[in-house]
Amino acid sequence: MKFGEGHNSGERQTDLRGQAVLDALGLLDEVESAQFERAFRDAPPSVQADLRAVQAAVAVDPAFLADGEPSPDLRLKTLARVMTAVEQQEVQFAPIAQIGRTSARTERRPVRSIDANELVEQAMELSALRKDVERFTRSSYYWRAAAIALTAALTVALVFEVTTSQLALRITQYALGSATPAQVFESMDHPGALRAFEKASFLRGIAGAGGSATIATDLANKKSLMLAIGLDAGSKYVLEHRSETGFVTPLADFVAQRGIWGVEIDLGADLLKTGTLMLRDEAGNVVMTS
Amino acid sequence: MDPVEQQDWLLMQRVGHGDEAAMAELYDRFVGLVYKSSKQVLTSRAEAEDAVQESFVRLWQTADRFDPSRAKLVTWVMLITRRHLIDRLRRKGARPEQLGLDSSVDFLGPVQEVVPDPGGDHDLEVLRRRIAELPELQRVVIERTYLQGFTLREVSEQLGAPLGTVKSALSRGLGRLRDRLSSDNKENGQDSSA
Repeated sequence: MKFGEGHNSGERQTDLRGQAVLDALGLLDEVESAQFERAFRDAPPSVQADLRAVQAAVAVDPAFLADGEPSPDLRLKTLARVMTAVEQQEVQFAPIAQIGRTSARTERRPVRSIDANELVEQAMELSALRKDVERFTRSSYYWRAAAIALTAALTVALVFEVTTSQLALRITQYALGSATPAQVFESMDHPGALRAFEKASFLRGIAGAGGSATIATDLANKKSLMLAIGLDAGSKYVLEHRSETGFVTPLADFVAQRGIWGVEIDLGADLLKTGTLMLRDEAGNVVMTS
Repeated sequence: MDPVEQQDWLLMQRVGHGDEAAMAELYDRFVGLVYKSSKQVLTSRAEAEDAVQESFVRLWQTADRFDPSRAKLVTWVMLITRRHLIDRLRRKGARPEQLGLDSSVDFLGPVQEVVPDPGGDHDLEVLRRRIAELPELQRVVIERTYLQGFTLREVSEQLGAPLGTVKSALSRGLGRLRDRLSSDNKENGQDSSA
């Protein structure tokens, strides 16, 4: 139910404020929390601002806080614990060819030509739904988040065949909906996928372009696939690898037929681990870089 | 997004990427609140400090989900902390399957499985005392959710009461509890700002 529908809006706001308090204290379960999230999103900006203020006040309310200060050495202990966790994750994160559902990898088929791939077509159709996408263009953060999730999800689907087209479509819809990248990746049953993609294969958009590209490699077939979003339709691009010693290797050139476009490339997984990947436009400007 | 929110978002992006300086900044800004929140529901200083460390690990793990348009950073930090505390309370066990209002008295005991530091459980005792003064339903619901980590749905099932009733009791109880603890703080001359 949207804000104000079926209830007196004053009562509704009071109810929402009560929910906001419980939410801020972590006392709502997942279902209730999701219901509150939806109600928050549907509420007018003035109510949203009120709820944010209520929650911030609860967060620092002395009634829910004890006295005392932590030990001085807790700072070092905490930083050490967090950085240990960060390092462990970096060691553990799988080579990008293993991202996806392990059980399904044995069933994967060779990389297909993506020009004819129905998943990309579906994604393009969805991206053409400007009404949905415009929600994200209001905020570069949301747009970027959606772009990361979309390209990563589709790349996994295309390269590894780990999902059905229905699932890929659902993920795409999530990506263009209000889900965060983390939620999208959670829906793929791979808790580490998001970070693995960000660290191993995500090409960051620069100059505020809002675009992103994702590369995944099929080790068995020595093939990689790059899927990019935020390209200019009809424009020519070159993907390059620059080694740490400055040696530049052109990997692929292509013309983006649509704003979302992909290309198969010969790129060993080893190359992805070192150096820099760059996407240049026709004028030679670097539009994305790892 | 205002400049402060933008800075907060950037900070959490850096935290999410494992930037140690960003994590140190986050720690310095919020450790006081995170510690005080942990200390209120856990029985010893050592346990509270361990919870602080785990909370910051969780903040790193969830950093990319922080959305400044949805909540202020302090709200997010405290939400992650409190969810961690609830999970911790759940892990501590002592959660009978079927409970009625009559068994609520038992809850004042099992929580304290860890031997508290000398003088370290004062805040928890004050909290328990104030909770004990609440009307029965409010008291039971707060004990089970805030101190035991049960979800509202679970409490609703345990009591055979509608979820809405349990939720209302919790809201009313928390409001009353907040008033009483605030009065305590004022009487003790404590600064109410965290």
